[in-house]
Amino acid sequence: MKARIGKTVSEIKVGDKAYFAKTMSETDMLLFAGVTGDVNLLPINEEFAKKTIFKRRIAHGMLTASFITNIIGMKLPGYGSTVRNQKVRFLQPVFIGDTIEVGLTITAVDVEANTVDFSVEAKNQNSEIVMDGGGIALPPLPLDDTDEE
Amino acid sequence: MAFQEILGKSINEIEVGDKAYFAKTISETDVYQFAAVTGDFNPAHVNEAYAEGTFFKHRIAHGQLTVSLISNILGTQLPGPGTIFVSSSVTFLAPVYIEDTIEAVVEVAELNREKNRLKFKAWCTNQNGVKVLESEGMVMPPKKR
Repeated sequence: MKARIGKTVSEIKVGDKAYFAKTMSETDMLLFAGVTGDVNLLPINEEFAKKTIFKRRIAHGMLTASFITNIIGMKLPGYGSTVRNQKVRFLQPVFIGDTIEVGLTITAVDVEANTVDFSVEAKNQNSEIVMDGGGIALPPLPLDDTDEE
Repeated sequence: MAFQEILGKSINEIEVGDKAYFAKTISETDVYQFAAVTGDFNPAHVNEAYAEGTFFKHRIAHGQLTVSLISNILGTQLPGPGTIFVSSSVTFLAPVYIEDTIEAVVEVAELNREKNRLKFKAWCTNQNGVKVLESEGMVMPPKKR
């Protein structure tokens, strides 16, 4: 199968941006709880959550953080990318029905090392920053031109 | 309707050096559900024919899926239910393949009892003892009501 890859390191410039936005559904939270086994009561038990400072269920922070992988794997750099490391800070709760937009910006490019540094910021529909962070990703390596069509 | 309150450990019930574990075989279903939730359909995760042509030779799990096993420990065991995640950083060291069994470990590194902040170290290893990722971060344990 012909490989289709995202941007290679030489096609990426400091300041390049990409975005992913999604409305956080209850289904997402339950699937995430099932996949990870993280059945912390805050995301899955409304009665429990009512008694907390949040007043209702909130999404797993790591679920919001997982939206970063969408941008890196699908858009910037895209197919064939891997993440070397990633840091995040959770600044505001994310509720069911919130629409979260994650923006990723390239902050450094090292062509020789084949790495890009990125920063991320996630906002909700009220433009509140719910998460920020950054990390280092490895863009896909250029393909051999002899690859069959 | 009365609910039994099931809260995790408060900061005063935790000591530096406390550890907790969670292990899981990463299934194809996990990887596909994770792709569905995040929208990350990178072929490295969902296309075996493509993956055969990559350095990894087979589909690999999303790194963020493996990290989330740490979230499991923090949210269900140490500190446990009611815990709030503040921040984390992670470094990915080796690929995780479908059917690998991954054990996550969380160790309490530092406690600030006045501010109710707990710093942790965490890591994940596969069935061959290879460390696949390292992490550290901060959480707020639940407060007793």
